[in-house]
Amino acid sequence: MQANELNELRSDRTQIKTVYLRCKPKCFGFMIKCFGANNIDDTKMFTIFNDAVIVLYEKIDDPSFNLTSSIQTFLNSVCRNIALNEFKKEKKLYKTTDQDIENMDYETQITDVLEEPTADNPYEVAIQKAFTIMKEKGGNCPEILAMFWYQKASMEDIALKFSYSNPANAKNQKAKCQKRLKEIALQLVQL
Amino acid sequence: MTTLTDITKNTYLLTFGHEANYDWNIITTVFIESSNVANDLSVKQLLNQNETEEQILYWQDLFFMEIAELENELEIDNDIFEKIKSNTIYQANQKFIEHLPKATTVLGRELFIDSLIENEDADVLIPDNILENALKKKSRDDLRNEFEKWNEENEKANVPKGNKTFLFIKYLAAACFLGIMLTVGYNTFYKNNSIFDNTEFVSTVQKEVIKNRGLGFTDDKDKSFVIIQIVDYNKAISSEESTPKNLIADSYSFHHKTLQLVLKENSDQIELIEFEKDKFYVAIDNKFYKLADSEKFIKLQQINDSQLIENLDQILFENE
Repeated sequence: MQANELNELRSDRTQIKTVYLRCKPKCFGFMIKCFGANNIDDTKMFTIFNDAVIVLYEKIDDPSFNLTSSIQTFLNSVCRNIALNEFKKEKKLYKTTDQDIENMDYETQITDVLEEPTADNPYEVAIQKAFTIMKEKGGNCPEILAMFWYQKASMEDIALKFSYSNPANAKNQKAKCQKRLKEIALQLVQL
Repeated sequence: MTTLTDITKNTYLLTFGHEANYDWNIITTVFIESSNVANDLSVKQLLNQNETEEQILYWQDLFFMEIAELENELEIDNDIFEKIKSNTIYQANQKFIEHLPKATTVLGRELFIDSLIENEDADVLIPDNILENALKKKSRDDLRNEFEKWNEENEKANVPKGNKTFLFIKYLAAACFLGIMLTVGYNTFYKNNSIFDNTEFVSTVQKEVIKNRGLGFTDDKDKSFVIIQIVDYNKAISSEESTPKNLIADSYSFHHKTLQLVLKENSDQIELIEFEKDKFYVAIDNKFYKLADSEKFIKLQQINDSQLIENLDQILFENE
């Protein structure tokens, strides 16, 4: 059952939106039950849940990633891990009963949290800055490149999203955007 | 499997926008081995379509970027690959491609979450509609309060049955009054549209949209047009005609192929540029302003980005 859920996602990444919408209410309910409504507000739950979905999304293509539980349980567990980290950072205390914990839908073996990408390489920093510059200038380039490199979208998907007449045109546009990004990044890294 | 000559051919098309019948194998060898590629291609007479040195260098860079990206999918001889690896242009591109996926993560995550939480009705929830609805609700609440007062008054006065018609007219008159106030108020304070009916200080022109064909986002040859209406702000406010109190100088509304401008200084040099698909800029007396789709009047924001200005200037220049 769990493998099926993951396989469906692997064969069609766009299913992630269905997962997002389906699992969100239960994850919110889980977090309230886990930490109490007074300890965690909607905004915080929203951020934590989004981060948990990113964790799942980034694991879709990892062949070593296997689900031993349902996607809902996986997301609950990741939400719990992220929230606990947040509480630790804020030095915030929260109360929960043993009975509650026993009844909760999460797995302690799941230890994933969202890893923040640390750009320690100056060239990487320059590319990130180049993205910011491109974004400020407007246009589709940052989105096209993010779709290709982050979302692993196909040229067909990119062509469809940006109304290019065919995947070849999308590929051309992506190549031009990539070259422009490199030019901006090179200027920044030389400064 | 992709071959090196495929890449040479494809990147030529990408750089020059047309196909050519060249000896791609020899050109590929020159790209990999030459230290002065433009000169060598010229000496060996491998190109014949007036390709400039700048274009050739752009092409060569794309060639190595493509190799760096497709490295694992390439059908390539080991000796040739060793030569490629020692090429500095390849090395620069390889470094870029190596760092690109990780550097895209932050932006990728941001856009991914945006796509998950996007509200398909967002366009409908424009502030004007919210205001209109809020006004409606407020008016209805006021009306309900009035009804209660009237009922109380009615009970106190112990109105005889024959006065029911009068009461009905009273309700109807109040409802009409509030309805009129709501409509007039909304149009006057949030739309400004009536002022564009006055030909005394409004000029209207139809302009062809100048499209940026250089970026390849459009290859269609069909033209599109917009109606541009310009209100002379100074004339409008000094006019005896009633002018909306909140007429904003140097503002615009851009919706449904109509651009309405309220300008302090009269201008006859106005051009509309579609820089990328659905990304519009207006040039007024050689200054550029970004346009957002908005029914409501918003302040014109001048572009200060020198690179963007240069690009927009170039598009105007090419379309002169």
